[in-house]
Amino acid sequence: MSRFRAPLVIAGIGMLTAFLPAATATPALAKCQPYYNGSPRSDDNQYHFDGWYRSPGVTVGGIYSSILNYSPWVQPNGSGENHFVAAWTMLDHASSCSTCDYAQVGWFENPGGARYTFTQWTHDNTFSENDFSPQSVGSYTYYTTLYNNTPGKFTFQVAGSTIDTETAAFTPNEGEIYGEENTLASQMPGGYNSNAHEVFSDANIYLNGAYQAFSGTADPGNTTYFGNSKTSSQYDMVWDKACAS
Amino acid sequence: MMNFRLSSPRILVTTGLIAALATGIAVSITALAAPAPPTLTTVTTQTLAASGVTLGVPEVPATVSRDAAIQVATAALPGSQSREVVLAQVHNDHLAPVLDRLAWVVSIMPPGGIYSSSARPGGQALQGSYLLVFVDAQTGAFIYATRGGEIH
Repeated sequence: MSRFRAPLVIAGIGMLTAFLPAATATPALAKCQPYYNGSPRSDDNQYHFDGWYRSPGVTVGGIYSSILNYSPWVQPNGSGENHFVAAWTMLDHASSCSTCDYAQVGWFENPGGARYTFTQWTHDNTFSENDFSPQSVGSYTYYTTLYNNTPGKFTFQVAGSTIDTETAAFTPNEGEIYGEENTLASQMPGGYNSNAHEVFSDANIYLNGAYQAFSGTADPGNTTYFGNSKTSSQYDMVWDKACAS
Repeated sequence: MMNFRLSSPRILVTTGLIAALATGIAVSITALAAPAPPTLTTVTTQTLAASGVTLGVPEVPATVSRDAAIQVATAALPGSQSREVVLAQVHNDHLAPVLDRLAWVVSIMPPGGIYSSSARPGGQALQGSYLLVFVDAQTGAFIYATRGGEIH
């Protein structure tokens, strides 16, 4: 089954891309330092997430979604800090959080605006990451993480093309699509205006030999600060409540 | 006949020794003539190999200077320091297209230290120990960067 998965994904993406002109219109994007109660939000150096997940209880062979390459405001680094904001698709093992095994592909942005496409995966009780030139801000890109498409490997695809293939050190049983930041002082991708959300569209998951609608569970994290709207089984949007755009 | 039979093994042994000696000398000369592949002190060859990276002996000279490569490598993370730099024929068959290019391999230390992993909801970040930036030694272009933790 795995042998035929990549061509199907590419073909599917190609077909779907042809029908995406409305979705790919560039929304208003503006960096916004998030405030709360009149003050900049705390630089708490904690991880925060906003997105959706699916834990089907069986091996997950792949996940993909068309994700808006949003450019958020990223808290400048203080001493000992390396802040970033990201969005990605991920395969992980839901019950192995002693090692928290996962494999993911997406975009991230550093303070000052440097952006990258990245792949990251856990193995040998550690992790590895590769960073590549980014997709254009404001565009939509399919970020795909596959398991066993090549036997025993994770395959990472961007816009339907494989960019990286790495040895799989675990068997994934969960799919996730999230925005992420490693301090509350940064902006979660997306603004609260309806045309400024971070978008996870055309989300699909590979289960039992076939792709199906992702149908994930929305998970906004801290609802004091972050919004999340799941409008269909394949479409979720997230945003920072402190930012209009 | 008897003498011949006795001397035949001697001839064979002697010939074998000479051949082995000649082979040894040839191998030694080759080893002396071929420079060793570049290595890094900030990350092991084993850890890099797990991500598909191998560093080979440069096959042609660089046209981009070492200092220019460091500038490119640190541009995205202002304030970063270069830890070490090597020129290598970089090969990575995990990437698509396969990377096989003369590159400056710049090991950098961001001002906030090496990045941790990005973690996942409910998980804890893993600490990284190295960050390498590969800069095309012929054009000065950023190729890609790799980072992570050491395999023990």
